[in-house]
Parts: sequence; structure tokens; C-alpha cells
Amino acid sequence: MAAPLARSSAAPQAALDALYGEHHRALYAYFYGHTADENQAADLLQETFLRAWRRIGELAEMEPGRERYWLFGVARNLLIDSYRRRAARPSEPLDDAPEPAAPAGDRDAALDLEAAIARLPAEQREALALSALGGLTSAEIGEALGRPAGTVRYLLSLARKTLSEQLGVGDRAKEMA
Amino acid sequence: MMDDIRTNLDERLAAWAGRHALSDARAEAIRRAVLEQTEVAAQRDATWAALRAMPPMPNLLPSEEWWRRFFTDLAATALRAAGAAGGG
Repeated sequence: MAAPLARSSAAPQAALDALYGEHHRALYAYFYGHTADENQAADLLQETFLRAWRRIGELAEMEPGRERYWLFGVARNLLIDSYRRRAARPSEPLDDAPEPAAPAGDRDAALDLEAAIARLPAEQREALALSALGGLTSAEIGEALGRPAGTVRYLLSLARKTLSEQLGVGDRAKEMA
Repeated sequence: MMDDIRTNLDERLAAWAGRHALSDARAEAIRRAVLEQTEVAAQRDATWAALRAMPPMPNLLPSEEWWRRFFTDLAATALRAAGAAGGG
């Protein structure tokens, strides 16, 4: 459980800074899980906290779990807006994204994993990113997304099962056995 | 055997997270950018609050020249506020 921020007496910027310190990694994980684009995730993260600034007085009075839920609500709206803007553009060239930096021997495996994660259903990918990238527990993910922790655990289990199958991890283990 | 499978996937996911996690340097850059923008917004809000708090001037209709100077001063104040917040 996150510690409540010492906010009511703090200056608004100090309150925002504390919110950032507590939630930025999870929010970045959420954005990256959806966009698979580090720059876009960083831009959306910045915009989330600028919106939080406009409501910092209300946020400062919220319980810790509620503020997480509020921030992820803003994050969800920003993502929807960015998808709409992208869809409205007539023809945008694909980004020249650099190859992921992985040792040569691991590169194929890394690319396989990237592709397998990209193919996961959105809600499984979202839960996986918040868990693996954001370091949140199932309960914290549920708190952020407004879902029961059991549902999050189920989504994570499905994601791991799918990844294991697609990466052939199970097959390799069978061969080894 | 299940433990092997789980470990293998955990290792791969940990490597994936290591490649894509937000670096401390970038997190700090975003934090600074947010705080700088909020500083500008706070100064702008303070300027407007001060203007709103100005007492009315009864029986005195501002001239066109007065309004021109008023907006010139306002723009200069906003620029100074933005410059101060941006560290420039």
C-alpha cells in the first residue's frame, strides 16, 4: 500500500512532485504496454501530470488508491485521444524505430518476445506491462484499472500461458525432459 | 519442469522490462519539464489573480492609449514569468 502523501499542507508543486515520484513508472508502463513506443509513452506521461496539475487540489485530498485510479483514468483518455489523432491522419510513414539493444545471441529471442507481446490481446498486454515493466502487484493493477485483483491474476496467467506457447518455451522444456 | 518453463519466461520478461523500462535520466527530464510548465502556469495564474484583485477605477474611462500600455505591460510580465520559470 502506498504511503499517503503529505499533501494538504504542502505546496501544490510539492504535491505534484510526490505524485510523480509515486506513480510515474506504473503510468509509463501502462503507456508503453499500449503504444510500444518509448517517445510516445514519455509524451503521454508528461501530459498526464500536466492534467493532474490542473486538479492538484482535488488530488491532494484523495486517498492513495483513488489518486492512482484517477491518474489511470486520465491516462486512458489520453491514449484514446492519441489513437483518434493517429487514425485521423491520412497516411503516416512508419517510424524508423531502432532495433532493441540486445546481445547478438539473444536478438532473435528478444524479437520473438517483442512480437509475441505485441500480439497479446490489449487487456492482457496492459496487465503484463504493469506487472513486468511497472512492478505493480495484481492488487495494485486492479486498483489502477478498476478491476478485481482476481481478474488481473487471470489476465496475467492467460498472458504468460500464451507467451509460453508462442515462444515454444514449453516445447523446449519437453525436449529437455 | 514447470519451474524451468516459468524461470525461462520470467528471465525473458525481466530482460524485456530491462530494455523498455523508463530510465532514471528520462524520468527526471520529464519531471523537470512538468514542474517547469506548472511554474509558468502558476505565475500566469498569479498575474491574473492580481489583475482581478485591482480595485475598479470609478468615473475614469481608460483611453485607447491606456489599454495599449496595459496589454504591453501584461505581455512583458507574462514573458518575464515564462523566462524565469524556464531558467532563461
